[in-house]
Amino acid sequence: MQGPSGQAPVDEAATAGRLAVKAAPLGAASNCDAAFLQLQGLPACPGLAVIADGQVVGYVDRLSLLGKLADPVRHALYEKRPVALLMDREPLVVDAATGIDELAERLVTEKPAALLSGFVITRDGVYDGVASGLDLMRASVDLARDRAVELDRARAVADAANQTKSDFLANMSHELRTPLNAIIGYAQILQEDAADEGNDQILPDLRKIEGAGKHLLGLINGILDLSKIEAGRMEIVLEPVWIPDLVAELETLAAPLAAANHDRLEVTIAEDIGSLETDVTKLKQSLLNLLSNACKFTKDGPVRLAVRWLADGGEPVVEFEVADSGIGMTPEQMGRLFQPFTQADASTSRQFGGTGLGLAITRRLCRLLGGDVTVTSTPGAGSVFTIRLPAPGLTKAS
Amino acid sequence: MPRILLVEDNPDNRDMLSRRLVRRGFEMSFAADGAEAIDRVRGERPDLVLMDLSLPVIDGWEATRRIKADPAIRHIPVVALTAHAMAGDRARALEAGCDDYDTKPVDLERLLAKMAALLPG
Repeated sequence: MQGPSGQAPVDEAATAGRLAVKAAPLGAASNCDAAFLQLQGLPACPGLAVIADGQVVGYVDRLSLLGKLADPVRHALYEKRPVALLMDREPLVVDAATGIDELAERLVTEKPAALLSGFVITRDGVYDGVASGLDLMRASVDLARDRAVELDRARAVADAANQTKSDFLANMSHELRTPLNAIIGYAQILQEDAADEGNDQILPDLRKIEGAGKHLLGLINGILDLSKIEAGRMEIVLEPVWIPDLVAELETLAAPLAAANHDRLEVTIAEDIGSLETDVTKLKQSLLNLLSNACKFTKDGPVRLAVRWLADGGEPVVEFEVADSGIGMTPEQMGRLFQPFTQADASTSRQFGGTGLGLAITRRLCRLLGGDVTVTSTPGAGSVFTIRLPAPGLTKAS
Repeated sequence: MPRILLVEDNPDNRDMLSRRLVRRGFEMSFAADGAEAIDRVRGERPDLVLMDLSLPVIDGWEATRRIKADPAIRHIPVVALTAHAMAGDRARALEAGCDDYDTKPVDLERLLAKMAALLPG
């Protein structure tokens, strides 16, 4: 007899064994009348297995046997004949350890008729009982319901764990920032003191302390931003943002970043662009991050910011394009780009610095704002990052 | 010389910010909790209050609410300072009556600009 072909289910409650109605089987030599009388005495039994030499050799199902023998003429015809005449010689036989899901699948593919007639259950090849399609369906429904309950419970546990993680990160970031605040602040005070006293030789060391402190602060803020976004606690404040003003501010903020690498910042903005309803802080953070990256990866070259709006039939879209003339990326590098803590490759962070969180945060912020950020790149020629935001309330400058 | 009351329970933060503000020509006084802050605002009538929000005894939100509920001192500008950059903190600070808000660690130039906008004359 067949054993379970798939993995043995661990939960006994979800196996064929629980369905077995333990009706005594018939011997192969039993006559039809014996089967008829036995089934009449067992109203919950879908049929009877027929056994020869300890093996299941057939199955008589209640409906067909009672159907044939209920009529007195046919009863007289069959009652003394061996049950082997009426039995199904190839019944569905499953091992008690077969999982409910696998059983249902085998029933459908191997013997759909068993859904009505019933099937035989064996345990280690020895007859164990019979079961009906209806019982199988009940067990399937129970199983699905149990799984749904289990899934709900698992999701509640996961949600609670995620909430705990977010709370922990929020509290930790506060605890981390307080001493960091002192490190950065005292490094700044000492620089001011040193400058006042003309004590210039210690300035580079103090700048390194301040720089390292600020880098660490950037990481902590980045992790906090990510955890806030992932916990759904990032606050979005929508307000009309006059885009030319935003772009002018970005130009001022990015100027020192461009100057550091002798880059030329080239800003173009569509003349007819006006205001956009969005969260200005999040948009500014996203664009500044792209500009900062572009300046970082460009040496003595142009960094372009272009702002335009498109309306391809549907609602208008504002497009902010940040293009660098840096080292560019391969498709594989671009695939990992928006994952947290993955710069294009590990050596990048050593060469160019950065936390590896900026683009992950930018993508999440842009999606929170209803848009997205995408990238195209040519190794050796540079990369183009594009933020597109839907702009249903876009007003145009007159 | 504008007089600033700095409300901050962390001695390092108090020391750092006050040294830098003294250097910029401000006269500083201090409170280490919200209750002391309210007493000092009433007694000293500073030109501006820099208010940490996570404070012992009475927190910064409640202290600000009480200052802004007192007609004798409600005109004194309060700038909230907090390391919590969590969702809702800014809104809560403004709701409590703070005139402006900045996050720690302090970016001195940014804070000075906010203070200048609120200080009289």
